[in-house]
Amino acid sequence: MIDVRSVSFAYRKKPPLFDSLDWNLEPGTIYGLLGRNGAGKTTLLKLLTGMLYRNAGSIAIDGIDPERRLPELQQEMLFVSEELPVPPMSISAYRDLYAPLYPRFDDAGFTRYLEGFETDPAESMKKMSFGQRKKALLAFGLATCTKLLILDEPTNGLDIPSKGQFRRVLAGAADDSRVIVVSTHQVRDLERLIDPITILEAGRIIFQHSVDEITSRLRLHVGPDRPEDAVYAEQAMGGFAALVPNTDASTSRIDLELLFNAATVETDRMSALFAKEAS
Amino acid sequence: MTTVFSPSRVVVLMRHDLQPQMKSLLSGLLAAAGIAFGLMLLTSLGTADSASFHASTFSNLLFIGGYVVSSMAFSELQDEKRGLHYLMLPGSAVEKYVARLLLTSVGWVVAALVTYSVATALGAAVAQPLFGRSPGVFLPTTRDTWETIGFYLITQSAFLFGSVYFRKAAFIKTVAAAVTVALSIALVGLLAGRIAFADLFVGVLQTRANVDQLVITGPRFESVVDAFDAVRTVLLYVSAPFFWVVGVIRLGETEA
Repeated sequence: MIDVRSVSFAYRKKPPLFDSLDWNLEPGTIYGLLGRNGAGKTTLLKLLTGMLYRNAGSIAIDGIDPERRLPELQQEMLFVSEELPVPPMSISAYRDLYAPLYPRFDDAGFTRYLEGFETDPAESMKKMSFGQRKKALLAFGLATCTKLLILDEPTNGLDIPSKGQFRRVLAGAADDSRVIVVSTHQVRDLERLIDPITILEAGRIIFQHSVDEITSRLRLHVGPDRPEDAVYAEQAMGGFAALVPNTDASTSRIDLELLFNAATVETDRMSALFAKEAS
Repeated sequence: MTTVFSPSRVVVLMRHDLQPQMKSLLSGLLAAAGIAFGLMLLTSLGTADSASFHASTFSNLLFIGGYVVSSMAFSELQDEKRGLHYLMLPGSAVEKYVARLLLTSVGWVVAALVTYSVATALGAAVAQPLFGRSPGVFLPTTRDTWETIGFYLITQSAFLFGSVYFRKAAFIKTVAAAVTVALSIALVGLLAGRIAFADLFVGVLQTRANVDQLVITGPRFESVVDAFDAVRTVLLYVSAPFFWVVGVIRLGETEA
Protein backbone atom coordinates (compact mmCIF):
# COMPACT_ATOMS: atom_id res chain seq x y z
CA MET A 1 0.00 0.00 0.00
CA ILE A 2 2.85 2.40 0.78
CA ASP A 3 5.92 2.07 -1.34
CA VAL A 4 9.06 4.11 -0.66
CA ARG A 5 11.80 3.60 -3.23
CA SER A 6 15.31 5.02 -3.31
CA VAL A 7 14.32 8.15 -1.49
CA SER A 8 17.04 10.68 -0.85
CA PHE A 9 16.63 13.82 1.18
CA ALA A 10 18.75 16.52 2.73
CA TYR A 11 17.78 19.74 4.45
CA ARG A 12 19.19 22.84 2.79
CA LYS A 13 22.91 23.30 3.45
CA LYS A 14 23.03 20.13 5.56
CA PRO A 15 24.49 16.69 4.82
CA PRO A 16 22.12 14.09 3.35
CA LEU A 17 19.73 12.57 5.87
CA PHE A 18 18.45 9.77 3.65
CA ASP A 19 20.24 8.16 0.75
CA SER A 20 18.33 5.67 -1.40
CA LEU A 21 15.99 4.67 1.40
CA ASP A 22 13.50 1.89 0.71
CA TRP A 23 10.49 1.08 2.85
CA ASN A 24 7.36 -0.87 2.22
CA LEU A 25 4.28 -0.75 4.45
CA GLU A 26 1.25 -2.98 4.23
CA PRO A 27 -2.21 -2.44 5.76
CA GLY A 28 -3.35 -4.31 8.83
CA THR A 29 -0.16 -3.58 10.78
CA ILE A 30 1.04 -1.24 13.47
CA TYR A 31 4.59 -0.33 12.52
CA GLY A 32 6.93 0.75 15.27
CA LEU A 33 9.48 3.21 13.89
CA LEU A 34 12.48 3.44 16.16
CA GLY A 35 15.61 5.52 15.81
CA ARG A 36 18.09 7.65 17.66
CA ASN A 37 17.51 11.36 18.23
CA GLY A 38 18.21 13.07 14.94
CA ALA A 39 17.99 9.85 12.92
CA GLY A 40 15.21 11.38 10.86
CA LYS A 41 12.08 9.59 12.06
CA THR A 42 9.87 12.67 11.93
CA THR A 43 11.48 13.76 8.66
CA LEU A 44 10.73 10.35 7.13
CA LEU A 45 7.13 10.59 8.25
CA LYS A 46 6.84 14.08 6.77
CA LEU A 47 8.23 12.77 3.47
CA LEU A 48 5.72 9.95 3.63
CA THR A 49 2.85 12.41 3.92
CA GLY A 50 4.15 14.88 1.34
CA MET A 51 4.87 17.56 3.91
CA LEU A 52 8.49 17.65 2.80
CA TYR A 53 9.67 17.31 -0.79
CA ARG A 54 12.22 14.59 -1.41
CA ASN A 55 15.35 15.18 -3.48
CA ALA A 56 15.16 11.86 -5.33
CA GLY A 57 13.25 8.61 -5.42
CA SER A 58 9.55 7.90 -5.29
CA ILE A 59 6.82 7.44 -2.74
CA ALA A 60 3.42 6.04 -3.57
CA ILE A 61 0.42 5.58 -1.30
CA ASP A 62 -2.05 3.36 -3.14
CA GLY A 63 -0.29 4.47 -6.30
CA ILE A 64 -0.56 8.20 -5.59
CA ASP A 65 2.43 10.41 -4.88
CA PRO A 66 1.76 12.24 -1.58
CA GLU A 67 3.74 15.26 -2.86
CA ARG A 68 0.76 16.06 -5.08
CA ARG A 69 -1.19 16.76 -1.86
CA LEU A 70 -4.44 15.69 -3.45
CA PRO A 71 -7.41 16.15 -1.09
CA GLU A 72 -8.58 12.59 -1.83
CA LEU A 73 -5.28 11.28 -0.47
CA GLN A 74 -5.06 13.75 2.41
CA GLN A 75 -8.48 12.53 3.59
CA GLU A 76 -6.82 9.15 4.05
CA MET A 77 -3.85 10.41 6.08
CA LEU A 78 -3.57 11.86 9.55
CA PHE A 79 -0.41 12.91 11.36
CA VAL A 80 -0.82 13.23 15.11
CA SER A 81 2.41 14.97 16.02
CA GLU A 82 4.05 14.95 19.42
CA GLU A 83 2.85 18.42 20.25
CA LEU A 84 -0.29 19.41 18.44
CA PRO A 85 -1.74 22.89 18.67
CA VAL A 86 -5.34 23.00 19.83
CA PRO A 87 -7.90 25.75 19.26
CA PRO A 88 -9.83 27.21 22.21
CA MET A 89 -12.84 24.91 22.06
CA SER A 90 -14.28 21.75 23.53
CA ILE A 91 -13.46 18.30 22.17
CA SER A 92 -16.94 17.96 20.73
CA ALA A 93 -16.61 21.34 19.00
CA TYR A 94 -13.21 20.20 17.68
CA ARG A 95 -14.91 17.12 16.29
CA ASP A 96 -17.65 19.26 14.68
CA LEU A 97 -14.99 21.45 13.06
CA TYR A 98 -12.61 18.84 11.69
CA ALA A 99 -14.65 15.65 11.22
CA PRO A 100 -16.34 16.90 8.00
CA LEU A 101 -12.89 16.86 6.35
CA TYR A 102 -12.65 13.09 6.86
CA PRO A 103 -15.50 11.32 5.04
CA ARG A 104 -15.21 8.09 7.01
CA PHE A 105 -15.13 9.70 10.43
CA ASP A 106 -16.54 7.24 12.99
CA ASP A 107 -18.67 9.10 15.53
CA ALA A 108 -19.46 5.99 17.54
CA GLY A 109 -15.79 5.09 17.57
CA PHE A 110 -14.83 8.59 18.69
CA THR A 111 -17.23 8.35 21.62
CA ARG A 112 -15.89 4.90 22.46
CA TYR A 113 -12.25 6.05 22.36
CA LEU A 114 -13.01 9.06 24.55
CA GLU A 115 -14.67 6.74 27.04
CA GLY A 116 -11.64 4.49 26.89
CA PHE A 117 -9.46 7.50 27.67
CA GLU A 118 -11.90 8.70 30.35
CA THR A 119 -12.08 12.09 28.65
CA ASP A 120 -15.09 14.39 28.75
CA PRO A 121 -16.03 15.67 25.26
CA ALA A 122 -17.54 18.84 26.73
CA GLU A 123 -14.28 19.92 28.33
CA SER A 124 -12.30 22.78 26.77
CA MET A 125 -9.08 21.56 25.21
CA LYS A 126 -7.19 24.69 26.24
CA LYS A 127 -7.93 23.97 29.88
CA MET A 128 -6.80 20.34 29.68
CA SER A 129 -3.43 19.07 30.75
CA PHE A 130 -0.95 18.07 28.05
CA GLY A 131 -1.75 14.39 28.56
CA GLN A 132 -5.50 14.90 28.43
CA ARG A 133 -5.19 16.95 25.24
CA LYS A 134 -3.05 14.25 23.75
CA LYS A 135 -5.65 11.58 24.54
CA ALA A 136 -8.39 13.69 22.96
CA LEU A 137 -6.36 14.15 19.79
CA LEU A 138 -5.44 10.47 19.69
CA ALA A 139 -9.13 9.60 19.99
CA PHE A 140 -9.91 11.95 17.13
CA GLY A 141 -7.08 10.56 15.03
CA LEU A 142 -8.25 6.98 15.53
CA ALA A 143 -11.84 7.94 14.73
CA THR A 144 -10.96 9.46 11.33
CA CYS A 145 -10.49 5.89 9.99
CA THR A 146 -7.79 7.14 7.63
CA LYS A 147 -5.84 4.50 5.73
CA LEU A 148 -2.59 5.93 7.09
CA LEU A 149 -2.38 7.08 10.68
CA ILE A 150 0.91 8.40 11.98
CA LEU A 151 1.45 8.81 15.69
CA ASP A 152 4.61 10.65 16.67
CA GLU A 153 5.58 9.87 20.27
CA PRO A 154 1.98 9.09 21.25
CA THR A 155 2.72 8.05 24.84
CA ASN A 156 4.96 11.00 25.61
CA GLY A 157 3.28 12.99 28.36
CA LEU A 158 0.83 10.25 29.30
CA ASP A 159 0.73 8.94 32.84
CA ILE A 160 0.97 5.20 33.52
CA PRO A 161 -2.79 4.49 33.56
CA SER A 162 -3.19 6.54 30.37
CA LYS A 163 -0.50 4.47 28.64
CA GLY A 164 -2.50 1.37 29.42
CA GLN A 165 -5.64 3.06 28.11
CA PHE A 166 -3.79 4.03 24.94
CA ARG A 167 -2.60 0.45 24.35
CA ARG A 168 -6.13 -0.88 24.75
CA VAL A 169 -7.67 1.80 22.55
CA LEU A 170 -5.04 1.45 19.82
CA ALA A 171 -5.34 -2.34 19.80
CA GLY A 172 -9.09 -1.96 19.33
CA ALA A 173 -8.74 0.58 16.53
CA ALA A 174 -6.32 -1.35 14.35
CA ASP A 175 -7.88 -3.09 11.36
CA ASP A 176 -6.91 -4.76 8.10
CA SER A 177 -7.44 -1.67 5.97
CA ARG A 178 -5.21 0.61 7.94
CA VAL A 179 -1.50 1.31 8.27
CA ILE A 180 -0.56 2.73 11.63
CA VAL A 181 2.96 4.01 12.13
CA VAL A 182 4.06 4.74 15.66
CA SER A 183 7.27 6.66 15.97
CA THR A 184 8.58 6.37 19.50
CA HIS A 185 11.45 6.31 21.93
CA GLN A 186 9.20 4.84 24.62
CA VAL A 187 9.47 1.31 23.32
CA ARG A 188 8.49 -0.32 26.59
CA ASP A 189 5.10 1.44 26.43
CA LEU A 190 4.27 -0.21 23.14
CA GLU A 191 6.24 -3.44 23.26
CA ARG A 192 3.28 -5.78 22.76
CA LEU A 193 1.53 -3.56 20.27
CA ILE A 194 3.97 -2.60 17.53
CA ASP A 195 4.68 -5.26 14.95
CA PRO A 196 6.81 -5.15 12.80
CA ILE A 197 9.73 -3.28 14.32
CA THR A 198 11.42 -0.82 12.01
CA ILE A 199 14.72 0.76 12.95
CA LEU A 200 16.07 3.82 11.20
CA GLU A 201 19.78 4.54 11.37
CA ALA A 202 22.27 6.48 9.23
CA GLY A 203 19.66 7.34 6.63
CA ARG A 204 18.53 3.78 6.04
CA ILE A 205 16.05 1.26 7.35
CA ILE A 206 18.56 -1.12 8.91
CA PHE A 207 16.04 -3.44 10.51
CA GLN A 208 12.45 -4.32 9.70
CA HIS A 209 11.11 -7.61 10.95
CA SER A 210 7.96 -8.89 12.59
CA VAL A 211 7.97 -9.90 16.21
CA ASP A 212 7.51 -13.55 15.13
CA GLU A 213 10.61 -13.38 12.95
CA ILE A 214 12.57 -11.75 15.74
CA THR A 215 11.56 -14.25 18.42
CA SER A 216 12.20 -17.17 16.08
CA ARG A 217 15.78 -16.00 15.54
CA LEU A 218 16.70 -14.38 18.82
CA ARG A 219 16.21 -15.17 22.45
CA LEU A 220 16.64 -13.00 25.49
CA HIS A 221 19.24 -14.22 27.94
CA VAL A 222 19.74 -12.72 31.39
CA GLY A 223 22.49 -14.11 33.55
CA PRO A 224 25.65 -13.44 35.56
CA ASP A 225 27.98 -14.09 32.65
CA ARG A 226 28.12 -12.78 29.12
CA PRO A 227 27.10 -15.62 26.76
CA GLU A 228 29.78 -16.49 24.27
CA ASP A 229 27.32 -16.71 21.38
CA ALA A 230 25.63 -13.40 22.22
CA VAL A 231 24.79 -11.30 19.19
CA TYR A 232 24.70 -8.35 21.54
CA ALA A 233 25.01 -7.99 25.28
CA GLU A 234 25.03 -5.22 27.80
CA GLN A 235 25.44 -5.06 31.51
CA ALA A 236 22.27 -5.30 33.56
CA MET A 237 21.34 -5.84 37.18
CA GLY A 238 22.77 -9.15 38.25
CA GLY A 239 25.07 -9.56 35.26
CA PHE A 240 24.27 -9.33 31.58
CA ALA A 241 21.22 -9.00 29.35
CA ALA A 242 21.94 -10.44 25.97
CA LEU A 243 20.33 -11.41 22.69
CA VAL A 244 21.46 -14.86 21.61
CA PRO A 245 20.51 -16.91 18.55
CA ASN A 246 17.38 -18.93 19.22
CA THR A 247 18.66 -22.39 18.36
CA ASP A 248 16.04 -24.43 20.15
CA ALA A 249 12.87 -22.75 18.85
CA SER A 250 11.99 -21.59 22.33
CA THR A 251 9.77 -18.60 22.77
CA SER A 252 10.74 -15.64 24.86
CA ARG A 253 9.86 -12.04 25.10
CA ILE A 254 12.14 -9.64 23.32
CA ASP A 255 13.39 -6.53 25.04
CA LEU A 256 12.91 -3.85 22.40
CA GLU A 257 15.50 -1.54 23.90
CA LEU A 258 18.04 -4.33 23.76
CA LEU A 259 16.94 -5.18 20.24
CA PHE A 260 17.33 -1.55 19.20
CA ASN A 261 20.82 -1.34 20.64
CA ALA A 262 21.75 -4.63 19.01
CA ALA A 263 20.50 -3.49 15.62
CA THR A 264 22.30 -0.16 15.75
CA VAL A 265 25.58 -1.41 17.26
CA GLU A 266 25.84 -4.83 15.62
CA THR A 267 24.10 -3.94 12.37
CA ASP A 268 26.07 -6.31 10.16
CA ARG A 269 25.74 -9.26 12.52
CA MET A 270 22.01 -8.72 12.84
CA SER A 271 21.59 -8.40 9.07
CA ALA A 272 23.59 -11.56 8.53
CA LEU A 273 21.58 -13.49 11.14
CA PHE A 274 18.26 -12.57 9.63
CA ALA A 275 19.46 -12.95 6.06
CA LYS A 276 20.90 -16.41 6.81
CA GLU A 277 17.69 -17.61 8.39
CA ALA A 278 15.61 -16.18 5.56
CA SER A 279 17.65 -18.04 3.00
CA MET B 1 -11.88 11.04 -9.51
CA THR B 2 -9.41 13.73 -8.50
CA THR B 3 -11.02 16.96 -7.34
CA VAL B 4 -8.79 19.93 -6.67
CA PHE B 5 -11.68 22.31 -6.07
CA SER B 6 -14.74 21.38 -4.08
CA PRO B 7 -16.96 24.30 -2.99
CA SER B 8 -18.24 22.34 -0.01
CA ARG B 9 -14.69 21.69 1.16
CA VAL B 10 -13.88 25.38 0.77
CA VAL B 11 -16.80 26.16 3.06
CA VAL B 12 -15.55 23.65 5.65
CA LEU B 13 -12.06 25.16 5.43
CA MET B 14 -13.50 28.66 5.87
CA ARG B 15 -15.31 27.47 9.00
CA HIS B 16 -12.05 25.95 10.20
CA ASP B 17 -10.27 29.26 9.56
CA LEU B 18 -12.91 31.47 11.11
CA GLN B 19 -14.34 29.64 14.09
CA PRO B 20 -11.26 29.49 16.34
CA GLN B 21 -10.52 33.18 15.60
CA MET B 22 -14.06 34.42 16.16
CA LYS B 23 -13.47 35.89 19.61
CA SER B 24 -10.30 37.72 18.55
CA LEU B 25 -11.97 38.98 15.39
CA LEU B 26 -15.02 40.27 17.20
CA SER B 27 -12.82 41.94 19.81
CA GLY B 28 -10.86 43.67 17.06
CA LEU B 29 -13.98 44.81 15.25
CA LEU B 30 -15.46 46.04 18.50
CA ALA B 31 -12.33 48.06 19.15
CA ALA B 32 -12.47 49.50 15.63
CA ALA B 33 -16.14 50.36 16.10
CA GLY B 34 -15.27 52.08 19.36
CA ILE B 35 -12.61 54.15 17.65
CA ALA B 36 -14.97 55.10 14.82
CA PHE B 37 -17.64 56.03 17.37
CA GLY B 38 -15.17 58.15 19.32
CA LEU B 39 -13.95 59.89 16.19
CA MET B 40 -17.56 60.62 15.21
CA LEU B 41 -18.11 62.41 18.51
CA LEU B 42 -14.82 64.30 18.27
CA THR B 43 -15.54 65.36 14.71
CA SER B 44 -19.00 66.50 15.72
CA LEU B 45 -17.36 69.05 17.97
CA GLY B 46 -15.83 70.60 14.85
CA THR B 47 -17.20 71.33 11.43
CA ALA B 48 -18.49 67.78 10.83
CA ASP B 49 -17.85 67.43 7.10
CA SER B 50 -19.49 64.06 6.59
CA ALA B 51 -18.19 63.29 3.11
CA SER B 52 -14.48 63.60 3.91
CA PHE B 53 -14.83 62.16 7.43
CA HIS B 54 -16.48 58.94 6.30
CA ALA B 55 -14.28 58.61 3.23
CA SER B 56 -11.05 58.80 5.22
CA THR B 57 -12.16 56.94 8.35
CA PHE B 58 -13.78 54.07 6.51
CA SER B 59 -10.77 53.84 4.19
CA ASN B 60 -8.44 53.62 7.18
CA LEU B 61 -10.50 50.84 8.73
CA LEU B 62 -10.80 48.98 5.45
CA PHE B 63 -7.22 49.27 4.25
CA ILE B 64 -5.17 49.20 7.43
CA GLY B 65 -7.30 46.55 9.10
CA GLY B 66 -7.61 44.53 5.91
CA TYR B 67 -3.91 44.62 5.10
CA VAL B 68 -3.01 43.51 8.63
CA VAL B 69 -5.59 40.72 8.59
CA SER B 70 -4.43 39.60 5.15
CA SER B 71 -0.78 39.64 6.24
CA MET B 72 -1.65 37.34 9.15
CA ALA B 73 -3.82 34.97 7.12
CA PHE B 74 -1.16 32.25 6.80
CA SER B 75 0.73 33.01 10.01
CA GLU B 76 0.58 29.37 11.16
CA LEU B 77 3.03 28.47 8.43
CA GLN B 78 5.67 30.24 10.54
CA ASP B 79 5.30 27.56 13.23
CA GLU B 80 6.41 24.02 12.40
CA LYS B 81 3.71 22.21 14.39
CA ARG B 82 0.84 24.48 13.39
CA GLY B 83 2.05 24.56 9.81
CA LEU B 84 2.16 20.77 9.65
CA HIS B 85 -1.35 20.52 11.03
CA TYR B 86 -2.69 23.04 8.51
CA LEU B 87 -0.91 21.60 5.49
CA MET B 88 -2.14 18.11 6.41
CA LEU B 89 -5.78 19.22 6.38
CA PRO B 90 -7.59 17.66 3.44
CA GLY B 91 -7.76 20.39 0.84
CA SER B 92 -5.84 21.39 -2.24
CA ALA B 93 -3.65 24.49 -2.26
CA VAL B 94 -6.31 26.16 -4.41
CA GLU B 95 -9.07 25.40 -1.91
CA LYS B 96 -7.03 26.53 1.07
CA TYR B 97 -5.98 29.75 -0.65
CA VAL B 98 -9.49 30.53 -1.89
CA ALA B 99 -10.88 29.99 1.60
CA ARG B 100 -8.49 32.54 3.10
CA LEU B 101 -8.85 34.87 0.12
CA LEU B 102 -12.62 35.00 0.52
CA LEU B 103 -12.34 35.68 4.23
CA THR B 104 -9.75 38.45 3.91
CA SER B 105 -11.25 40.12 0.84
CA VAL B 106 -15.03 39.91 0.61
CA GLY B 107 -15.37 38.76 4.20
CA TRP B 108 -13.34 41.65 5.55
CA VAL B 109 -15.20 44.15 3.37
CA VAL B 110 -18.52 42.94 4.76
CA ALA B 111 -17.20 43.01 8.31
CA ALA B 112 -15.80 46.52 7.83
CA LEU B 113 -19.00 47.79 6.24
CA VAL B 114 -21.22 46.39 8.98
CA THR B 115 -18.91 47.51 11.79
CA TYR B 116 -18.49 51.01 10.43
CA SER B 117 -22.16 51.46 9.55
CA VAL B 118 -23.30 50.40 13.00
CA ALA B 119 -20.62 52.50 14.75
CA THR B 120 -21.44 55.62 12.77
CA ALA B 121 -25.17 55.13 13.17
CA LEU B 122 -24.69 54.98 16.93
CA GLY B 123 -22.31 57.92 16.74
CA ALA B 124 -24.76 60.01 14.80
CA ALA B 125 -27.58 59.05 17.17
CA VAL B 126 -25.51 60.29 20.11
CA ALA B 127 -23.77 63.27 18.50
CA GLN B 128 -26.78 64.90 16.89
CA PRO B 129 -28.80 65.52 20.08
CA LEU B 130 -25.64 66.21 22.07
CA PHE B 131 -23.87 68.65 19.78
CA GLY B 132 -26.59 69.57 17.31
CA ARG B 133 -24.57 68.22 14.41
CA SER B 134 -22.71 65.12 13.27
CA PRO B 135 -21.00 63.73 10.17
CA GLY B 136 -24.16 61.73 9.58
CA VAL B 137 -24.65 58.03 9.01
CA PHE B 138 -22.26 56.28 6.67
CA LEU B 139 -23.91 55.29 3.41
CA PRO B 140 -22.08 52.41 1.75
CA THR B 141 -23.91 52.80 -1.53
CA THR B 142 -21.93 55.72 -2.94
CA ARG B 143 -19.75 55.31 -6.01
CA ASP B 144 -16.66 56.45 -4.10
CA THR B 145 -17.20 53.77 -1.45
CA TRP B 146 -17.43 51.02 -4.02
CA GLU B 147 -14.36 52.29 -5.87
CA THR B 148 -12.51 52.25 -2.55
CA ILE B 149 -13.67 48.69 -1.91
CA GLY B 150 -12.63 47.70 -5.42
CA PHE B 151 -9.17 49.15 -4.86
CA TYR B 152 -8.91 47.27 -1.56
CA LEU B 153 -9.87 43.98 -3.18
CA ILE B 154 -7.12 44.46 -5.74
CA THR B 155 -4.35 45.59 -3.41
CA GLN B 156 -5.05 43.16 -0.57
CA SER B 157 -4.07 40.34 -2.90
CA ALA B 158 -0.45 41.46 -2.51
CA PHE B 159 -0.66 41.29 1.28
CA LEU B 160 -2.28 37.85 1.18
CA PHE B 161 0.53 36.66 -1.07
CA GLY B 162 3.02 38.24 1.33
CA SER B 163 1.50 36.23 4.15
CA VAL B 164 2.30 32.96 2.43
CA TYR B 165 5.60 34.07 0.91
CA PHE B 166 7.31 35.63 3.92
CA ARG B 167 8.02 33.47 6.93
CA LYS B 168 7.99 36.33 9.43
CA ALA B 169 6.86 39.95 9.67
CA ALA B 170 4.81 39.56 6.51
CA PHE B 171 3.06 42.94 6.76
CA ILE B 172 6.24 44.98 7.05
CA LYS B 173 8.01 42.97 4.37
CA THR B 174 5.09 43.30 1.96
CA VAL B 175 5.01 47.06 2.50
CA ALA B 176 8.78 47.18 1.95
CA ALA B 177 8.44 45.14 -1.24
CA ALA B 178 5.64 47.40 -2.50
CA VAL B 179 7.73 50.49 -1.79
CA THR B 180 10.67 48.91 -3.61
CA VAL B 181 8.49 48.20 -6.66
CA ALA B 182 7.04 51.71 -6.57
CA LEU B 183 10.50 53.27 -6.34
CA SER B 184 11.69 51.10 -9.21
CA ILE B 185 8.76 52.14 -11.39
CA ALA B 186 9.33 55.76 -10.43
CA LEU B 187 13.00 55.50 -11.33
CA VAL B 188 12.22 53.93 -14.68
CA GLY B 189 9.58 56.59 -15.29
CA LEU B 190 12.04 59.32 -14.37
CA LEU B 191 14.69 58.01 -16.73
CA ALA B 192 12.14 57.55 -19.52
CA GLY B 193 10.84 61.05 -18.99
CA ARG B 194 14.35 62.48 -18.97
CA ILE B 195 15.02 60.84 -22.30
CA ALA B 196 11.62 61.54 -23.91
CA PHE B 197 11.48 65.14 -22.75
CA ALA B 198 15.15 65.96 -22.96
CA ASP B 199 14.44 69.47 -24.26
CA LEU B 200 12.67 70.34 -21.02
CA PHE B 201 15.78 69.68 -18.94
CA VAL B 202 19.05 71.41 -18.32
CA GLY B 203 21.75 69.27 -16.75
CA VAL B 204 20.87 65.80 -15.51
CA LEU B 205 17.54 66.24 -13.76
CA GLN B 206 17.02 69.96 -13.48
CA THR B 207 14.07 71.28 -15.48
CA ARG B 208 14.15 74.53 -17.41
CA ALA B 209 13.06 77.60 -15.49
CA ASN B 210 9.89 78.09 -17.51
CA VAL B 211 8.89 74.42 -17.84
CA ASP B 212 5.58 74.99 -16.06
CA GLN B 213 4.61 77.51 -18.71
CA LEU B 214 5.21 75.17 -21.58
CA VAL B 215 2.22 73.47 -23.16
CA ILE B 216 3.01 69.81 -23.46
CA THR B 217 1.12 68.21 -26.33
CA GLY B 218 1.68 65.98 -29.26
CA PRO B 219 2.85 62.38 -29.71
CA ARG B 220 5.34 62.48 -26.83
CA PHE B 221 2.71 63.52 -24.36
CA GLU B 222 0.26 60.97 -25.76
CA SER B 223 2.83 58.23 -25.30
CA VAL B 224 3.21 59.27 -21.67
CA VAL B 225 -0.53 59.04 -21.23
CA ASP B 226 -0.54 55.63 -22.96
CA ALA B 227 2.20 54.40 -20.64
CA PHE B 228 0.27 55.63 -17.63
CA ASP B 229 -2.87 53.88 -18.89
CA ALA B 230 -0.90 50.68 -19.42
CA VAL B 231 0.44 50.74 -15.85
CA ARG B 232 -3.02 51.47 -14.50
CA THR B 233 -4.51 48.60 -16.52
CA VAL B 234 -1.87 46.21 -15.22
CA LEU B 235 -2.50 47.36 -11.67
CA LEU B 236 -6.26 47.15 -11.89
CA TYR B 237 -6.74 43.99 -13.92
CA VAL B 238 -3.57 41.93 -13.80
CA SER B 239 -2.00 42.36 -10.37
CA ALA B 240 -4.69 40.64 -8.30
CA PRO B 241 -4.97 37.51 -10.49
CA PHE B 242 -1.18 37.42 -10.66
CA PHE B 243 -0.85 37.42 -6.87
CA TRP B 244 -3.62 34.84 -6.50
CA VAL B 245 -1.89 32.44 -8.89
CA VAL B 246 1.59 32.84 -7.42
CA GLY B 247 0.06 32.63 -3.93
CA VAL B 248 -1.50 29.24 -4.71
CA ILE B 249 1.76 28.03 -6.19
CA ARG B 250 3.71 29.21 -3.18
CA LEU B 251 1.27 27.56 -0.76
CA GLY B 252 1.56 24.31 -2.69
CA GLU B 253 5.34 24.44 -2.37
CA THR B 254 5.39 25.23 1.32
CA GLU B 255 6.92 22.52 3.47
CA ALA B 256 6.16 21.72 7.07
